[in-house]
Amino acid sequence: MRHYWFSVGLVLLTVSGIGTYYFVGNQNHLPEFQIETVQGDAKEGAAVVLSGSYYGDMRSESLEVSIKGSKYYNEKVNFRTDILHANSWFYEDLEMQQLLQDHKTFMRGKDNVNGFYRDHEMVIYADLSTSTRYTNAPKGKLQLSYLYEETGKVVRFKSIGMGHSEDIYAIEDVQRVENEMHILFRKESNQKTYEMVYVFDMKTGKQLRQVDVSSQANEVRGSEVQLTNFQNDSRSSASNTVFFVGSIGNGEDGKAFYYSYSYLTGVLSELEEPLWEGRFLVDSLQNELLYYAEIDPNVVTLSVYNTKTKERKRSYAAVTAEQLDVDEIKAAIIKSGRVYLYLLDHAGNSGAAVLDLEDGKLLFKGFAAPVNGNKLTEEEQQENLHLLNMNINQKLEN
Amino acid sequence: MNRYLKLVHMEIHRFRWILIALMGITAICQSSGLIWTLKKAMAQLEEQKIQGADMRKYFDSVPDTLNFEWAMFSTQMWFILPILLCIAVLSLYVFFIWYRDWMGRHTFIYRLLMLPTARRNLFLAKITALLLFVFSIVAFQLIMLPVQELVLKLVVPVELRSESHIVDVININQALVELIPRQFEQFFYIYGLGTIVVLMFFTAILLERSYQRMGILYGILYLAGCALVVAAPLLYFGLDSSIIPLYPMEIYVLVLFLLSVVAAVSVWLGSRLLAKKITV
Repeated sequence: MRHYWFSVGLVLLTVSGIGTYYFVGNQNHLPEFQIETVQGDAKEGAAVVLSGSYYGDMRSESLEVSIKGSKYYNEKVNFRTDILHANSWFYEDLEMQQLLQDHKTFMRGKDNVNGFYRDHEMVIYADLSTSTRYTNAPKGKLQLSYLYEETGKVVRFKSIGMGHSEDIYAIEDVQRVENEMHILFRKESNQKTYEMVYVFDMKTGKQLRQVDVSSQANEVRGSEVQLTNFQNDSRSSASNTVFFVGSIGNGEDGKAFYYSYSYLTGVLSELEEPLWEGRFLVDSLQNELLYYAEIDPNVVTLSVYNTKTKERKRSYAAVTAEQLDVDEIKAAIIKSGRVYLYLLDHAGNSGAAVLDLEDGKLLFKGFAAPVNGNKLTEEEQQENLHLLNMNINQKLEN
Repeated sequence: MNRYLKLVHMEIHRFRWILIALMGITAICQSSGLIWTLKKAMAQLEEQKIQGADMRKYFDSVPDTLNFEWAMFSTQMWFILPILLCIAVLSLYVFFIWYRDWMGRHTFIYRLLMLPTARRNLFLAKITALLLFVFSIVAFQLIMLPVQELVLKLVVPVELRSESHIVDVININQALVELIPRQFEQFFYIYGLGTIVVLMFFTAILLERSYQRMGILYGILYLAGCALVVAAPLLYFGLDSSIIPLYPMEIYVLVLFLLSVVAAVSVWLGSRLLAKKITV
């Protein structure tokens, strides 16, 4: 055995050095935080993720804090997570999670959120056949797939040629109108952008007609109008109407025009009144109801506009910073029947509140705080913890 | 098993002085760089005290208290250069571990191939030894860090120093952060991939030894083939592909499977070449 002392020593050095570092030295390195519930139901705050940095002596570490705790970026990223979290924006979408749960086989290879349509009968998916959505036709051929949910029957139409060679297309919306499929594209051609609707026969996959929506807006205004599609939050609700916001020139004058386009008639109409009013808004179109929140550091005001009946409820709910007992309301997100507010308390700590979108009732309020047992003074937290963003990560309930 | 371990020991024994020299150079270079930096910082601190806070030059200023993280940041090159030297020597030794057996008047490979043991043990012993050299240098570096922190404590008086964590110390160094990843899972991936690359090179070397001039071409083609097999899922069936659409978990499993296939084929082909093609 004495003969082998060097080899044995080398093995011991290796195991002890690497083993000690990974099993002891690497543990509990940075303080842990969590969003501590101050008021309301913690379940309502489960989707809130505050992200930012924790400042060390010489460098900062990115982290995310939620009700469950904190996760530092360097602690969670590796080769496996790099692959698994690719296209995470797609897998984080609640409707996509539902589709993946219901039809995993049909969903294979489909990752363009805007290409989906779902109604009581079927799921439709439209995509361009190259790896990028922004591609030159006719190289980029349109692919259509339908899934009849009850029977499980799948119909596919591959390589439907579109437009001209130098045009670049991006799919913005897909709708089914009886036996026709209407796909709204954003088309870039000769350094100009157009909103185009292509109509296909659902039985044969053949293109029936195309509607130049941008030209209709130009004709009404007598000058070139830049249209931007205003998307519905839900893909599982069929809607025969799509809304656009238009501007003339580079939009510096700040004047916006509002349009609705009917898939049924193929006609673009200018709306008599704007979709929303006010400044510093966040909005969410949920079926025919357009909710919007006007954000001020001291108050957030909720309004709703019914795009069908043209009825508007201005400021149907308002929540003040004083009511929330915070210093400032920094931002808001409207999602899935809830209004998520990003808050700063009087000590400068970041937190979040969740309101019911229907009536503005406070459902949850919480602030980032060190996990019990962490030796961190309030001063140290304020100095080192900088949470600057709020994201909403919803998970499908099984 | 016993013969395999004896072969591993033999390979370690043949490299021991180079390994000790590499560790020695690393220890001397890093420690002397650290001491020099700390002495310089202490002198500068004294100067700053005399000049007062307003007279500090922004870029040259030293913090009021010194810690190991700051010292590591200020001694980057002293740490990186010996690490690069170790990487270079071990990379060359991937080839030399085989070719040295064919060198000289009385070629050692004759004796090795005539040993009363399966020839694949030669292949496995060489890869085991090489991995042990790599991991022992990584472990030595990890063990040196607390020793170097002790050096800092000896050089810098207690009132002028503050604490820092070993993870922060590693993260602040551009070479160490790559060699010693934060998660053990990533450590497994990096060094697992490195092991497979070495196995591929071992097989390519044995192809060259078996088929001489044509063997060079076979070796290059083998390496290119292995690289293509591993890169294929990401290049052709990638994360955003409609050619063979896979879910992310499936791509991950496929990559691991293909890497395992490349490793298994390399070991099998290398062992087979040693057993059937290389003759004494």
